Amino acid sequence: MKKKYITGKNYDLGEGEIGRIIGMTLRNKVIPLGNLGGGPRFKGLLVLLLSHCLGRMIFPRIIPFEQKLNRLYLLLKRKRSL
Amino acid sequence: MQQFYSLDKFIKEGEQISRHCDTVSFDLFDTLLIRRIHDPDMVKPAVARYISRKALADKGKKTWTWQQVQKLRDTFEQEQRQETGQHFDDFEACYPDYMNRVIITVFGEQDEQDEQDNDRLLREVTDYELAMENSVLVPRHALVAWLKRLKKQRKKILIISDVYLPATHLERLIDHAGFLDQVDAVVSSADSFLAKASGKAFPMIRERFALHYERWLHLGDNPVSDGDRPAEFGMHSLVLRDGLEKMRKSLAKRYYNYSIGQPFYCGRCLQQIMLPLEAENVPQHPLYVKGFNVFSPMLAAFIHGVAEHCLNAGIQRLYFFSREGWLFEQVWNRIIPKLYAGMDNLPKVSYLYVSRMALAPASCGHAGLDQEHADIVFLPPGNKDFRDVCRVFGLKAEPFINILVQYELEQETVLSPLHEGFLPKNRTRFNEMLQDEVFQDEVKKQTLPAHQALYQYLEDQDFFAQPDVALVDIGWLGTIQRFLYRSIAHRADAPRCHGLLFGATRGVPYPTTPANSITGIIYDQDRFNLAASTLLYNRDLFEETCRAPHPTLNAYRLTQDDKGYKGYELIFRHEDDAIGHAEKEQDRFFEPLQQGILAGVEQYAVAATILGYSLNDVQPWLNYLLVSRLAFPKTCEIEEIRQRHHLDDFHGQHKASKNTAAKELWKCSRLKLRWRPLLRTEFFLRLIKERLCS
Repeated sequence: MKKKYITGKNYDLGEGEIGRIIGMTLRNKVIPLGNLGGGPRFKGLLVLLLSHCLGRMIFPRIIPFEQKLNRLYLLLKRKRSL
Repeated sequence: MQQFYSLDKFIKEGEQISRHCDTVSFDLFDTLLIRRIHDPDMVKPAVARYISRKALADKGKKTWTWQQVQKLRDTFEQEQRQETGQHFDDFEACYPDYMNRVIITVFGEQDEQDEQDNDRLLREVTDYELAMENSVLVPRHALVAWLKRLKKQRKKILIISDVYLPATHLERLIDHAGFLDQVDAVVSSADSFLAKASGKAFPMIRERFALHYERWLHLGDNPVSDGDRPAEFGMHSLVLRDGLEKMRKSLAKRYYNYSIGQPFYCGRCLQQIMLPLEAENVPQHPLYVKGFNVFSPMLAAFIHGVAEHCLNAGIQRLYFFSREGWLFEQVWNRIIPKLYAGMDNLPKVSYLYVSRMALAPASCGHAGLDQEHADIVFLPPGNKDFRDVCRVFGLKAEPFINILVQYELEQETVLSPLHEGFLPKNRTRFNEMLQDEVFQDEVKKQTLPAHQALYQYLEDQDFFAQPDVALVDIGWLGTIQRFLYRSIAHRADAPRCHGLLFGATRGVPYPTTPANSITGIIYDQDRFNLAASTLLYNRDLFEETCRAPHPTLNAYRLTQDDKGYKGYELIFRHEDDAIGHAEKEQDRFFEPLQQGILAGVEQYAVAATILGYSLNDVQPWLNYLLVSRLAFPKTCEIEEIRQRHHLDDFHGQHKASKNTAAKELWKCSRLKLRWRPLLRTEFFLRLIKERLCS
């Protein structure tokens, strides 16, 4: 059998767990799967999917602008709270 | 100062510059060592819980919650930073100073004895804090390899850190990471209160080690402390701002933040911390990966739940049962001392050699054979007639021939309704025979030696020495505990038996009394939990996963030496027959799975300690794992992990004529699994129906 990594390259559980969680969440909308603690929210799942799948491409590119982005993020957060 | 966004370029440039330098200094945290957690402060609550438990164990003193201890630590640390800031440029703190204040406040200090006790406590707390740090720190493989190369080139290697831990403590962390012998000196701002952040550390280090700024290269992750400040002194400095490391931390932080509001993510967050990093993450056998990612959280959470139950019920003795207990005991030994560090009332644990085949005869030595227990024999379709009753209860059939004739029965008379030729009147006659005193006397006579041998074994195991015992098994009906309790119930010193099962399916009602009960930790038929009930899809898989590599116990036998002293011996099953070979093959097949489980549970202990989780916190995630892996598995997953053999001596060799076995997803053909898209949904809907009806 072909050997596998426990931690995937995208820092997910080695078997592409995020896709599986999305699949199960969709399935849970059709048939009740039981107590999943309220399940995950779709917005969060989408962010996690993007982070896992595109993170390797995005993070090294935005890290030079980390401080500027952080300032922008804080500004938006302040505006939202007003 | 130069900044790099990938490790490879950083090392390449560092190698170029280091040719002209004789000293290379490294930042420690987030440079040479990375943390599994996104926030270094996450270690502190675990230490606060440790101190709180210690305070609780120190009877007669005030009770401190961990939140109070944490607040105290934060206050004292902050006070020391403010005080340091009045005399130095940096607002630094020193761990032993403020932690000593915490310990004195929590435990009190009135005389010399208290002072000595507090010194000891400070050492213990420090050891614990460093052990927790060690468990979350991982050396960066490529950087440490480069550091070793630099050392070979006879460069002076320094490690400089702005942190509250003194250099002696940092040395212990580096030693654990495995490269202390490559380092010439470790410098911490906690010792001198001169930090890299203000730049005051560099002149002090230059003076101490007689260095030259122009021949000194400093490497770190902070653009100010590790970049600008050394550059101001004319040093070479390189700053690593690793995008992938940022991604990893960002994901860990996101899972953690989500877990605060959404219970589903608690277990996922825990597993994110469990993940191996850097050199730990090497390609493994697929079953090892499955053991680490799927089975280890389930089994660790089960044992975590067992410990919680014992502590709540005040149970001081715990026995792991049957062959699955072998793995459970190893899981306990790996996680519980970490999860409950500092707690002195944990139950004493040991492994008890028991099996249904060994206990069934022993259970009849005093009480005989009643209908309730005889009926259990006919639950598996492989058992058919009186010969199977004799096999299970270790009886010789010949002495019963006359009694059988008396009740118009033969050894071969079919007594199981699952087999052809079954007549209800024969079962009625059999039940009448069970009431016969002559029959019972013969049963007791034949099974008494096994009964006595069991007593001796249990006495050797201190089984009767405490009022309550927890008996841990995988499940499902609690038959082993039922037989065991029946063997000892008449004794005045019999302990109350609390059965704690991975899954209690309760196919046959368990005779629950205050003195003898079973509870399912992950799944219990008595508590409606649809998701967890998916473990009914493939119970054999869990049994085989946890099974010990040694053969099963067949009997307890009385022995007698030359002086007439009666002892006992445990008789194990022979491994040289076809069944034994098949078992060995199965053990070999699942060996990587068990290795993955044992590696995974160690990380579970670390993550659960850091996050302060209990079984309830991770239950939704376990439910998700059970549903997704057992009810909706991928075809390749079923093929990968489906056990090759499952053997049980309790089940006879007869083949039932009536097809009683329900269709199982895990026994479907590859073709069906792959090409029937609604197959899994069909099975799941059937499960929902069964659960609702039951």
